[in-house]
Amino acid sequence: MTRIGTNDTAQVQDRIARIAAVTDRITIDPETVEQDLARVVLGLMEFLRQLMELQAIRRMDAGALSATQEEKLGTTLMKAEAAIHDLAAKFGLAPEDLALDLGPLGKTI
Amino acid sequence: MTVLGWTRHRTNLPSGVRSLHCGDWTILVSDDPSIQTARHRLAAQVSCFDAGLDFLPTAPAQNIAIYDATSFTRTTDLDALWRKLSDRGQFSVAVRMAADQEHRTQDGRSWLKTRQAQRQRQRHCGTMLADIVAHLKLPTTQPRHTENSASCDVLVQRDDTNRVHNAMQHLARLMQGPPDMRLCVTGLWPPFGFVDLTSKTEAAE
Repeated sequence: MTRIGTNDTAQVQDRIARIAAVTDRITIDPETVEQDLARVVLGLMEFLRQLMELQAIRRMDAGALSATQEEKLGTTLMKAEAAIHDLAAKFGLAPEDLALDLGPLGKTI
Repeated sequence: MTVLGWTRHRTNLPSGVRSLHCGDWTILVSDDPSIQTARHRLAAQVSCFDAGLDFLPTAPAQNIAIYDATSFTRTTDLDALWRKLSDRGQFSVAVRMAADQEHRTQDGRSWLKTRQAQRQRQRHCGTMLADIVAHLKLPTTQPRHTENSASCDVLVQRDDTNRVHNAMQHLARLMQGPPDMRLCVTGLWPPFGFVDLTSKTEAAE
């Protein structure tokens, strides 16, 4: 039996974080209901924003956007991301907290 | 009391770990009060695994109560899991690329181009990982993606670990990728990624 690279602390931490994510389902607790609801709503907003970003990148890859369109789309998506992160921070949420676990469907972002 | 997993065996227990019998199953527990976090549970499970114990591990992040661990022996098809995972462990395999240099973008166009490059890196990592695991022809978990990496777990027979590890390194060398792309393999770990505790009722629905 071999164990390769287990001293690589970053990898082990990454591994534990991933295993920990198994329990990262949406929970609504009476004590933290505002934060939990904010997490659901902002998580969905960030999910939609990322879908729009992916679509914008696909159109860029296909050469379907002019420089002006790229600038406009990029600015909108960049500001939307900053606004969502700012709102999340007001509820004590980090950007990675906005990933919602949909069970067998995986994570939203 | 901390639940570490389930086994069919009653021997080879490392110090600090004891067994509770529950029908055909033995629940592995530790009474060590210092085991409080996921990291501690993981360390205890790895010591059982390294001692050669064949067991179905709990997810280290989940501190399962003994009552629930007992219920799982009735409500979950542990027999099927045992057939699938007995005498096996998992490698955690990741293809990583160096993170893009952080630079504050002022305009929307360069911000979008940065994101485009990021997606490109994700695609490279995902493709290389998929190619490597496809060659292995072994059970794997769904791939996970981050900004600069793609990873998954590969289920491996304990006595086949060296061959599989060497095969992965060999395949990574053969594949043409960006120069900063590298393969990271850790393990062998207990097969956490393959223990699905879906109840028999849920599975039937």
